[in-house]
Amino acid sequence: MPVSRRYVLGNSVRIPKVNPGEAILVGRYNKDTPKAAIIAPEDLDALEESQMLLTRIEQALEIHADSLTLKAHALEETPNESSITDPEAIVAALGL
Amino acid sequence: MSLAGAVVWAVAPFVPQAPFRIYAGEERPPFKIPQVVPLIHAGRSGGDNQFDFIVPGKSRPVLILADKRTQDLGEYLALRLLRFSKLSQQEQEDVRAQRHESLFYLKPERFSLPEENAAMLSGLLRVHVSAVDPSPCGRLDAYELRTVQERFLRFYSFDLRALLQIAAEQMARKNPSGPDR
Repeated sequence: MPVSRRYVLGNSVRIPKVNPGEAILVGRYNKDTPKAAIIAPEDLDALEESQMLLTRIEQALEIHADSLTLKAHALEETPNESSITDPEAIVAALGL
Repeated sequence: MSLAGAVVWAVAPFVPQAPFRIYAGEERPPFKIPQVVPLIHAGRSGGDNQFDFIVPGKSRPVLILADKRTQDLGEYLALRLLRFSKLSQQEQEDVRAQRHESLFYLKPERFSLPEENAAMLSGLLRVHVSAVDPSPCGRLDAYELRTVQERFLRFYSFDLRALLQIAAEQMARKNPSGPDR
């Protein structure tokens, strides 16, 4: 999922120094449920680059439904206009 | 808006299974065919024999697993839901605690459903668009949907090794030394 960026002025928040390769988790009471994570800008760039690369690979590997796919689906996934419902014809067809 | 990850109500028939029931007009009860052999024989003998099978079905909530092809094919890929009233207290606790990877717990506060449910990875359905009420009763977020889709692939043991290898090679080609510092 792409990350949207929101800029905050440095003098409106107190952010500890964060080193590349480090994530600072900000929590209130419980360490298991952090409220936010702080990472270095270059790490955010790297994360986004990986995400974009994965998206491009996913798009390149996708199989598209071309016209023959659609034709095949319509041909084989659409029932005939009528089924055999005559009892004698059913007996004959099934060899009952 | 995409319905992938949404829970919607849909008409969901059960798959035909022996004994097969075949509609034979209004004058007589359906034929009951105990085994598949005569039906296969009728198919193999040519003539495109088509019968009206009588299968049970219900309208029920389902989780839309994918709708990428809906525009093209007019169908959704969906999973049946397991109703908690069918489980013992212990089983309910186990599913809530996500102890069964094949049953994805749907938090009841996020879904407007008559009772608690879990999506069943074993309950795959193709549902026609005309058989779906497209108003969602709730939906998974993107991470939850990805988790369900990944579990689905793992549940059926799809062999993705070659695909993963291609992806890894492409990533290595694009980024041979990893991200710059």
